[in-house]
Amino acid sequence: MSDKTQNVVEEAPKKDNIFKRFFRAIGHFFVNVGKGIANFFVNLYRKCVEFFVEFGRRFVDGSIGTKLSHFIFGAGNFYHGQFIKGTIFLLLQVGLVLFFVLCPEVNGTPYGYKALANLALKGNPNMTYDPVTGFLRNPDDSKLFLLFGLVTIIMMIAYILIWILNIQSSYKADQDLKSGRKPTTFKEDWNTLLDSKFHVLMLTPTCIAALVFTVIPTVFMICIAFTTYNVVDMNAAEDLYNKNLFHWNGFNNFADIFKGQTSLGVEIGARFLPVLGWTAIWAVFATFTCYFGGILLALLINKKGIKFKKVFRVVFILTIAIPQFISLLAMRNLLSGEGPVNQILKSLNWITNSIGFLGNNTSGDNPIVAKVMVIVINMWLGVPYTMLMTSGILMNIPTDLYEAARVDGASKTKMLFKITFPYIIFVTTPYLISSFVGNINSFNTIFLLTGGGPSVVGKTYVAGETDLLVTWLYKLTIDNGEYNTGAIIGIFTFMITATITLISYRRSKAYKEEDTFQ
Amino acid sequence: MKNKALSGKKGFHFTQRTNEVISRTLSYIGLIMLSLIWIVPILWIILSAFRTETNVDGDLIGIVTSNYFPNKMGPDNFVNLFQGTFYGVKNAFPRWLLNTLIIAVVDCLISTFLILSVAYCMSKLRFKMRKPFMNITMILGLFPGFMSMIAIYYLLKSIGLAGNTAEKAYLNIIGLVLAYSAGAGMGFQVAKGFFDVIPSSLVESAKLDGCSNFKIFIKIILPLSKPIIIYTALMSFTAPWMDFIFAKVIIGEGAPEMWTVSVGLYSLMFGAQANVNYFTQFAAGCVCVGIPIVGLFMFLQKYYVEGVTAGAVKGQKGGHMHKSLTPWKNARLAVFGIGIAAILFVIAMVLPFYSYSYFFQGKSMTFAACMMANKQMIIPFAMVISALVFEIIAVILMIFLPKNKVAHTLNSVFSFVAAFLTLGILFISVCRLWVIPYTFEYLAQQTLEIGYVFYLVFLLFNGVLACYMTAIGGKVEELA
Repeated sequence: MSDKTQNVVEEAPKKDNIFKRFFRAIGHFFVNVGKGIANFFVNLYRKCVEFFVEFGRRFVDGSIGTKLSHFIFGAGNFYHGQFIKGTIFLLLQVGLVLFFVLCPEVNGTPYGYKALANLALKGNPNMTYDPVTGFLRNPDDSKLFLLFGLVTIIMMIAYILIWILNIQSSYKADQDLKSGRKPTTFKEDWNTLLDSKFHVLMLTPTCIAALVFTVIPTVFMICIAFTTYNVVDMNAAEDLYNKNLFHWNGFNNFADIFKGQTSLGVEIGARFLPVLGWTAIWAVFATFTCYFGGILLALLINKKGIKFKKVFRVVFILTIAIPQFISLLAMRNLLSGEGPVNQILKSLNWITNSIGFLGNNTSGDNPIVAKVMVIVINMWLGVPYTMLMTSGILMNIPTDLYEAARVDGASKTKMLFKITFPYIIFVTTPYLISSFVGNINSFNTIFLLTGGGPSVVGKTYVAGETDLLVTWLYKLTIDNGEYNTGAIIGIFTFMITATITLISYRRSKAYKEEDTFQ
Repeated sequence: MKNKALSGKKGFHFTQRTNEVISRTLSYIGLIMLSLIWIVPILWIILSAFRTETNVDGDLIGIVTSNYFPNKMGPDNFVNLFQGTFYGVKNAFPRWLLNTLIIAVVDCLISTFLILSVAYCMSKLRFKMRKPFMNITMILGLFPGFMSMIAIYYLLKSIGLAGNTAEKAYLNIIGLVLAYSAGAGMGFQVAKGFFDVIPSSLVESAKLDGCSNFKIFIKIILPLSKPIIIYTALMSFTAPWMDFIFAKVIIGEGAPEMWTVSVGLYSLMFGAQANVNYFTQFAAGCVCVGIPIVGLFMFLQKYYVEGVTAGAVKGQKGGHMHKSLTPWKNARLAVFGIGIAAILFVIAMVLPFYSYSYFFQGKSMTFAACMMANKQMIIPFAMVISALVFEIIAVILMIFLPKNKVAHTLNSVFSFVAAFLTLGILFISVCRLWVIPYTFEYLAQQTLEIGYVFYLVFLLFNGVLACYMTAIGGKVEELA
C-alpha cells in the first residue's frame, strides 16, 4: 500500500505547446485591453454623473460657509472655526491664482495663462520690445513653451483637486454639526493623517516628486514625437532666431519613418527592424545565459564537499560590487585593437591582424564577433547576480522532496532536472521577467563596451551593428539632436516592454495571489 | 551485451568514493578556472594603477599593451591623480570624490526614507488607490529614461538648479540630488516584497492595542526590517558612484569642479581633454572608487543577498527576524568604522589645507605641513590621535576580554573619552569657520579647502562612531 502511494506521481494536466499558449496570451491581452478601455470609459461616465450630482447636492445642502467655499477656498473652514485649515486652503488658492494671472517668467518664458496660449508652439522668432520692463526680449524657445505649458496644466489640475478637497472638508464639518458632533480640530485632523489616512501623508512626497520628475518629462517626451523638434531642421532655418523654434507636426514623423520619404526617414526605416531584431536576440540571450549560468554556478559552489565556498562567492561578487563603468571600460581596453589580449595573441603568432573583438577597430569588423563578445561579457557581469539569488533558494528547497526521490531510486541528474530546476524556475519567474525587460533597456553594457559599433558603412544617423533601441535613442538625441525621432523610438521601446511586462505579470502567480503570503 | 555493459556488471567500474573524488576535483578545477576569468580583468586594472613604466621622453605611458604584468611599479599614478589639474580644476580628483560623497549621503537619506514609506503603504495598508498606484508606477518605470532626462534638465534649469557654471555651479549638485532621489519612491518593489513577508498578524494585534499606523511603522515594522533598510541604503548610496550619464547631463560640461567621480574619470578617458596617457591615472582613480564600494558590498553581503531575494522571489523567508547583534559583530562593525575613520584622516592629512594659508602667506600646504610650521596645532592633533587610540583600545577590549561587566564598563569609558575628544575638536573646528572670516569665502569661491572639509567629515564620522561604541558598552551591560 505504502509503495503504491509513493509511486503515484500526479499527472500534470496536459498543456498546449508553448507557442500556442504564447499567442493565446497575446490574444487575451488585447481582448483584455479592449475590455479595460471600454470599462474605463463607462466607469468614467458613471463617475462623472455621480460627481456632478454630489456636487449639486453639496451646494444646495451645505451651510453658507460651504457655499462660499465654492468661490473662496477655506471659507467653510473659517465658518466652522477651523482656522489653520482655512488659512492653508486660502493661501494655496491665492498662490495658485497669482501664478496663473501674474505669469512668472523664467528664462524669458512665462508660466500661467500665457503658457497655455504658448502650447500652440507658435513662437515669435524675433527680438521683441517688452513694454513693462522697457528691455528687448529674447526670441522664444519652443521647448520651454511646451514644458511650461505642461507644468501649468498640472497646476490647474492641482487647483481643481484642492478646490474639491476644500468643499469636501467644509461639507464634512456641516455633516458633523448636523449629527451633533463638533467639527474636527486641526490636531484631530493631524492624528487621522497619522493613522487611518497615513498613506496620504506617506505617499504625498513621492507623488509630487513623481509628477515633477517622471510624469511631466514622460508626457513631454511623448509630445516631442509629434513636433518638428530636431536640431538639423531647426539649424537649417535661415533666420538665426528660428533655431529655437519647432512646431506641431501631427503624425508626419511616424509616417516619415515608415514611408521613408526624407533622407533621415530612409535611414531610420532601413535600420529600425534590424535593431529591433538584435534587441530581441540580445534580450533573450542575455537573460537566459546569465540565468542558467548563474544556476549552474550556484550548484557548483554549493556542491557537497566543496571547501572555501565563501572565498569563491566573494570572487564572483566582485563584478557586482565594482561600478560598471570601471569593469566594462577595463574590459573594453583589455580587448581593444591595441589591447593586451590582441598583443599576446600576436606575440604567440596566432594572428597577424588585431581582432576587433568589440568592433572598435576602424576597419570593418565582423559584427558577429562583436555580438557574441557582448553577450559573453554580459555573462561575466550577470551570472554572479543569479548565483547569489539561487544560492539562497537552493538551501530552501524542502529536503523531503530529495528523500522521496532517493527512495524511488532516482539518479542525481534526474533529481537535478526534476526537482531542483523546476523549483528554482518556479520561484524565480518574476525575476526572469524583470531581468528580460531590464536587458531590453540595458544601456550601460552596450554603450560602454562597443558604443554600438561596428558601424554600418555609409550611414550617419543610424545605429551600429550592436546598438540596442536604447543606445540608438541616446545617439539620436544626445549626439545628433534628433529629438522627435528619438521620442518615437522611445515610444516603440515602451510599447514593447509594456506589452511583455503586462502579459507576463498579469498571468503570474505573484500578481494574482498577491495577498496569499501574508 | 549492451544491457549488461550499462548495468555495470561487467568491465571497469569506479567505486562510489572514487566517483565522488573525481567529480569534486573536476568541480574545483572548474571553479578555479572561472575565478581566474573573473579576476583577470579586475587584476589588470589594479596592476595598471601601479604601473610606472615610462616612455622615451620620461613620461608615464598610458595603456601598456605588451605585457600583462608591469615592469616597474610605484605609487606615482595616485600622487599624480590626487595632485593633478584636470579640466582646469586644481586638485580635481579629491574634489570629485567629495562631490560624490556629499551627493551619495544626501541621496541615500532621502531615497531610503521615500522607498521605505511607500513600500510600507503598499504592503501593509489597504486603500482605494493602492492597485492603480502600483500599476501606474510599473508602467511609468518602463519608459526609457533618456528622453525624460532632457525634460528634467530644462525643468531644473528653469528653477536654477542645472546648467550653472562658475560661482553658481554648486547649485547643480542640489539639482542632481533632487533628480536622483525624487524618483526613488517608485522603486519600492524590493522593499515591498520584504514587508510582505512580515506577518500581518503583528500589525493586526498592534492595531487592536490601539496603535496608530504611524506608530506601527516606526515601532514594529522598522525595527524588524534592518536588512531591507541596509539594502536600500546601500543601493542608493552606491548609485551616484556608478551613474555617469545623468550626472553628466545635469551638472554639465561647463562645471568640471562639480563633476562626480564617474563623470570625471570617464572624461579622463573619453572627454574633450581626454588623453591615452591618463589611463594609468584613470585606473588609479578606479581603484580609489572601487575599494570602498567593494568593501561596503563585502561587509553588507548578507543584507544584499536578502534584498535581492526579497525583490525577485515570492514567499521566501530570509530568516532575518529578531536577531540581535552579538558582541563580536559589534566589534567587527567598530573595526570597520575605525578603518574608515583612519582612511578619512589620512586623506585629510595629505590634501591641501588652505584655511591656515593666511598665516603662511597664501601658500598651499597640506595639513601635515601646517602642523610642522605651527606648533599650536600639535595640541588638537594629539587629541585626535589619542581619541583614535582610545577607540582602538575599546575595540580590543570588546574582542579579547571576557564578556563581563567590568570589560563593558571599561569599553564604555574609553569610547566615551574618545567621543568627548573628537566632538570637542569638531566643535572648535566648526567655530573656527566663524572666527576666520576668509574660510567661508574660500569655500564659496570654490577655492579648495578639501583637506579641511575631509578633516571635518572625519571628525563628524568619528564622533558618531565613538558615541555608538559607548552605547554598545552600556547596552550589553544592561543585558548582562
